[in-house]
Amino acid sequence: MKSVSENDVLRRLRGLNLATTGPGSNVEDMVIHKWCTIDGPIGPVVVVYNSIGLRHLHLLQGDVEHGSRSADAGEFLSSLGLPLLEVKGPPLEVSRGLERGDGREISYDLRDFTSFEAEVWMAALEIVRGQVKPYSWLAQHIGRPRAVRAVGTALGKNPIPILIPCHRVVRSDGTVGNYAFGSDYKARILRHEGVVVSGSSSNPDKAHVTRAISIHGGN
Amino acid sequence: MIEYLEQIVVAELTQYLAMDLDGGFPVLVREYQGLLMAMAFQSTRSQADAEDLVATCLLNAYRSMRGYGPQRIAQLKLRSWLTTILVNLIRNRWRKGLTDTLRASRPLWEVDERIQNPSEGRALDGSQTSVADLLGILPPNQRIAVIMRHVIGYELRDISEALGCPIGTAKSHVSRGLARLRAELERGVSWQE
Repeated sequence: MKSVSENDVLRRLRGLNLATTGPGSNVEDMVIHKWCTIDGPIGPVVVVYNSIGLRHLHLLQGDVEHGSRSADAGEFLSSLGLPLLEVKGPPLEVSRGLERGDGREISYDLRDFTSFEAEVWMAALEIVRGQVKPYSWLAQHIGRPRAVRAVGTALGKNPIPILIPCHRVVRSDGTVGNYAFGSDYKARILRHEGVVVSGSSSNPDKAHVTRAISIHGGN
Repeated sequence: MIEYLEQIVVAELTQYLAMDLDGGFPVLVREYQGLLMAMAFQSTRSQADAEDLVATCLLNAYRSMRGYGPQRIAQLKLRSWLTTILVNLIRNRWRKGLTDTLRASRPLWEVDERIQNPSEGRALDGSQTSVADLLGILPPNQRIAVIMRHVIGYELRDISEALGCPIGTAKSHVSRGLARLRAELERGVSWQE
């Protein structure tokens, strides 16, 4: 047996660090998150992103005059617990996505969430502007037809509303259902997208989608 | 002037962080990401996994500091504190035997499996890679200890802190790990001949 000296082992171990210094990493851009305020379909929104993708979107509440809007932004940003850097504008794909009401071209950073949640959200991305689908459609679409309630819960946790269009998922009887920012908001966004919603939109049980591209139809 | 300021900032980074966490944090990231990346890469052999671990480590550090208050932040020993956070993440990942579900990266057990079947002749070719692969057969604490001491160049004190064990134990993790590597390399050499 040929002997290997301890020095030989040490030399090889040291060599590892020299030989494998990988290409420059982009850890800094993964960790320091950028944020900005931009116009959404019905009022300003705050977006937070890093080099992996978009991580949060918040619909700003309150008004400019009384400072309650910037207070809302501050409160939201602080609740994230992320290192943040304010920038002038978002990546082009994000502003374009908001303009078109289509979030499919955007990359998202969903690493904080379960793969089930991410799957639900990615499926919701396929519901296009002007269209609504019932929760059961989404459950079926991800191959978990009986997980309707779980789908509803996952949608409620959506960190990127508007762009991941959880507002386009409604109850199968056509009533708009709940929304993290209130069913009134949900009805407003849907109307903005050309969906006809009748009834009192502040009540998730009463507001009713009467015309959309498709409720049950399609794939 | 800016460079000069930056030097002061780095020297007194904990003071800066205690005063202004959000202002100081990017400086912390720039200062320590290289060291943490080296440690994470040597432990995972995957650039993507290493970036993921280091990003998580830094975010956890940020969140902890937000809860600490200025006095505690000012007293942090950043280098060993950050390394301890990272080492815990690495050990957790080994324990679970899983990588991130959303990222299609190479799971660690694939690396380990190859080493467990040296008859396939892949691991023990006597090159640099073989030492890297061989590290995978060491028990987690020995593996961390050897990488920290002899690949990256940490002091025993840092290792004992990161592993949460006395210095004597850290020292024995290092020497047992080395002895095992040496024995495996000798076996590899004789197997080749």
